[in-house]
Amino acid sequence: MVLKLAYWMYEGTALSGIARVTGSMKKIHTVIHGPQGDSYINVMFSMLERFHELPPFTLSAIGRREMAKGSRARLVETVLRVDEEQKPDVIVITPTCSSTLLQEDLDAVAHTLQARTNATLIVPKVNAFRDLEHYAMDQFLTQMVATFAEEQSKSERFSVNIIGPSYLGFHQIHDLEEIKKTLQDLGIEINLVVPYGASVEALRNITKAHLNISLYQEYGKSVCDYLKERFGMDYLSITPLGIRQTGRFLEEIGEKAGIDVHAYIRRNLSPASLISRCVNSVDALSSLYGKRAVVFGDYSHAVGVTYLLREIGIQVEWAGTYMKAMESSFKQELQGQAKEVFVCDDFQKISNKIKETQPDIVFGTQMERHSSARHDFPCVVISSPAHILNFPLHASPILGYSGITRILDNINGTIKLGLEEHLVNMFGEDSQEEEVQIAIAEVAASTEKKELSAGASEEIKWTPDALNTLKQIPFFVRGKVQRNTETYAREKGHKEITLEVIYAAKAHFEK
Amino acid sequence: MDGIQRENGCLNTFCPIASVAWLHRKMKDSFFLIVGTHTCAHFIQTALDVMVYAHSRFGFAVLEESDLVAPSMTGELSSVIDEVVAEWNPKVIFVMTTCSVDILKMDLEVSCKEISKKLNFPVLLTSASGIDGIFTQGEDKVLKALLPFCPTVEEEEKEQSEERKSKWFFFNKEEEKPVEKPKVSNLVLVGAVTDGTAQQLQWELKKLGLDKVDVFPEGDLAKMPVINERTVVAPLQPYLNDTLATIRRERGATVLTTLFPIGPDGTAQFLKDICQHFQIDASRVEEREKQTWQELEPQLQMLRGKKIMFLGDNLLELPLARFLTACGVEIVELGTPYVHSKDMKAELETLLAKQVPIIEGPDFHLQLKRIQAYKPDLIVTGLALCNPLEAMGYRTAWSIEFTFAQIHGFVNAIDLIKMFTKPLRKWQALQEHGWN
Ligand code: SF4
Repeated sequence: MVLKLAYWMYEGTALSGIARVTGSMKKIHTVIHGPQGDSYINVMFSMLERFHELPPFTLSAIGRREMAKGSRARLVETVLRVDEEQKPDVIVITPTCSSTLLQEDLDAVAHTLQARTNATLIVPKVNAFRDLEHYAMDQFLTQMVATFAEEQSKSERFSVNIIGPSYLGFHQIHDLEEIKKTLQDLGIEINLVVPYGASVEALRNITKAHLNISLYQEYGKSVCDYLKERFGMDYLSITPLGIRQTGRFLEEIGEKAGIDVHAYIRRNLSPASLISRCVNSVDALSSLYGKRAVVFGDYSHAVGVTYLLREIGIQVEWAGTYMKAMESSFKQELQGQAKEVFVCDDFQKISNKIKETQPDIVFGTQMERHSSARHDFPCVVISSPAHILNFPLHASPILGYSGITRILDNINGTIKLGLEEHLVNMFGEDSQEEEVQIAIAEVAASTEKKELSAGASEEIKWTPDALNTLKQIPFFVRGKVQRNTETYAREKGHKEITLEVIYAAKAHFEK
Repeated sequence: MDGIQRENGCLNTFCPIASVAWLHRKMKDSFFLIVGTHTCAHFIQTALDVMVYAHSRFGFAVLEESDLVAPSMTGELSSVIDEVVAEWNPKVIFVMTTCSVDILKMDLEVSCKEISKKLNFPVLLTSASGIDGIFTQGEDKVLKALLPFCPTVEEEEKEQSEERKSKWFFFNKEEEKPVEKPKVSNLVLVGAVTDGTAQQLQWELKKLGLDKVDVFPEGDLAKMPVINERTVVAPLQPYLNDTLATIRRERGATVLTTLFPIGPDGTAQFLKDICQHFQIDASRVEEREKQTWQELEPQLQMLRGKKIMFLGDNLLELPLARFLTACGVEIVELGTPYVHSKDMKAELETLLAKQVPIIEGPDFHLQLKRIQAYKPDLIVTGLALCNPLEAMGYRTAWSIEFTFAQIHGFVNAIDLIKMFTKPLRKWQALQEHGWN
């Protein structure tokens, strides 16, 4: 064993990954074989997803007695009771980090117990100590599908399975609604969503679909590979985030389904569409174009958002992911899209990097939101780890065209607006914030009088023309402009500030 | 103790490491290093919503599989602690061990001592394994680790042992020469309460004539109170059993058997018992109690005759239920993870006299059935169960709030009682607007 200092975990545990799969499905109950605190999974479901039902997890606690006398008796009792009381189709018996260290043979327990339960007993084939959330999800989803999938005849109309959406994912349930709507608009049927809302019965029919669509890159692809190999099912693994990726996603589906999707794409991107009107607006020229952003998150969102930012004219200084296992494909995917592409799971390093880069806007996880707040950078949260704020009530997809509009809204709500920022940058130095933050009404009334008269009465005089120009500058940067111009004038030995001096000062500070 | 039923459960609670949430704020210039697995870290950052403290004075030394078994953990732990020191420059580090350390039978005692010596400040080992306890008991472990910082002799008496300060890490009691006993004994309130709560209780006691009342723990290691065989200890929190046992055993101090100063009734009894011990007049207490109950009257009207059920979570259940019975509430079930009959003696006597059904380690699935039978007006329970129970049509109060809020003493009594009436009021308000 070695020890590693961590203040923060970007990825959850294997236990939480398994729980995301089982907890998203129907009529599956999970028995967690671990110590007291490992029942925190219940709290995640109950609090973050605001569960109105008891989360389907029961702890088989390992306490002092179990440590001394063995935990088997407690486990057997718990499983039998869950079977009797909850009557689930499947009981998943999962170890946790700590109980893995006990090196018990849960498979053997499940094997002997199976004769006594109505539910099918499944022990995830993961190493709960070593594996992380997404890898565990990928493996366990495949295990579940492999356990229940049966050969079926294809549905009459072209249909797809959507693989990925689950509870506790980043806006995934919202994504699902968006994808459903899109497919419906295109006239494509959905056979099954996995794991969200899937029952064992539904898993048996997974092979009825013509195509599997894996929405996220962190997990789900193994299921597709399995279904391809075992049942010859075709699949598609694209995260439709951003303009190009969404287009590609639609085109490939269209191609497989024999449907022309171009009209649909055009409708969403035509000059009349909201996306296009926003991106092409003159406002976006100043508020978005050329802005320096940094991106950090899981794989799917870091990649997708980087693409999207490039597509709307934002410069990506660097893009990083904490998905260490996906390093090479991440680098390959984003090569040339950002000045620097890297993998890192140390949040303090990311925090320092943000500070060094001094970006105009940060796209990251809740952790980067914290780091950004500390260094006073605007931040849009685009990836797990999430917070209750990332479980919004209103439709908030990240994927598809609605996802783009939502991200654009978020950027607009976060970044400094075009004109305002222009002026601040032109004349201000680094501490522009104060001016903006001062209570508007108060400042509007007093600044004008005080500063203009002061400015006019001190050694440096403003000509009427120059004063007029000064008045036209929004109040919240006026003080700064005045001071900078006067400093400049003094340096240059001007006794009077004329329009020429203002313009020269502007040129001076702008360069 | 008779009258207490036992079941085999109470599993929807947290493990002791959760106590870092309040302890890292209480102890100044400290750092809490939790030695455990990925689960421990994930638990703390998700379930407790400690995200609000995203960058703060606690962290994890996460065990990772390598070629296994490092010859000694000292090197490993030491380099992690070096990183912590470089970033935070703490004056004390608490190394909290967890289930995995327990299971692997790792002993970090020697490592902590060595590192301590090297760094020249305390690195204290505390076990916070979830195999043994529930979350508030983490405080018990930390307080126990802090006890060696409580001098056994008064400031004036120890000129000769000034060097002790620099040698704190030896914890060697034999270094201290027996000193002549002064006549006065000191009173120490024990429990990691906020400074505000401590001040209030000190103020009440001062009005009664006790000028010097110490509190353990102080936020500052250098200011820990004297505890010796003349000390009278009054516990503030009901889950400090190890600490109290150690105080009795190692310091020979007197631990008062009284109610906890929670609710006007408990606070009054607490103060009266202290007064009795110090032989001072306690008549003022009754006046204070009466006055406080009067202030609570509008809330009491709402609570009288209501049925409240505790599912069991943070070990505050006994004093809270005792307070509620004094409010005229019917406690249909008092579930609590664990009952320490010695330290809880006074509370238990009061509760059992009122025939409150107490269940130690209640089984949630049996409780679910009993909930349906009792139809309580309010259920006090942990975070995992509140939302589902609300959806089933019950009113709930989050037990964790009682851990985080200031509930001790007369002054806070109004806040305490409101934590019970608020969910009822909310329900009433929503019903008036068409929710039912
Ligand atoms: S129960 Fe044990 S392993 Fe689980 S989070 Fe608590 S200390 Fe860590």
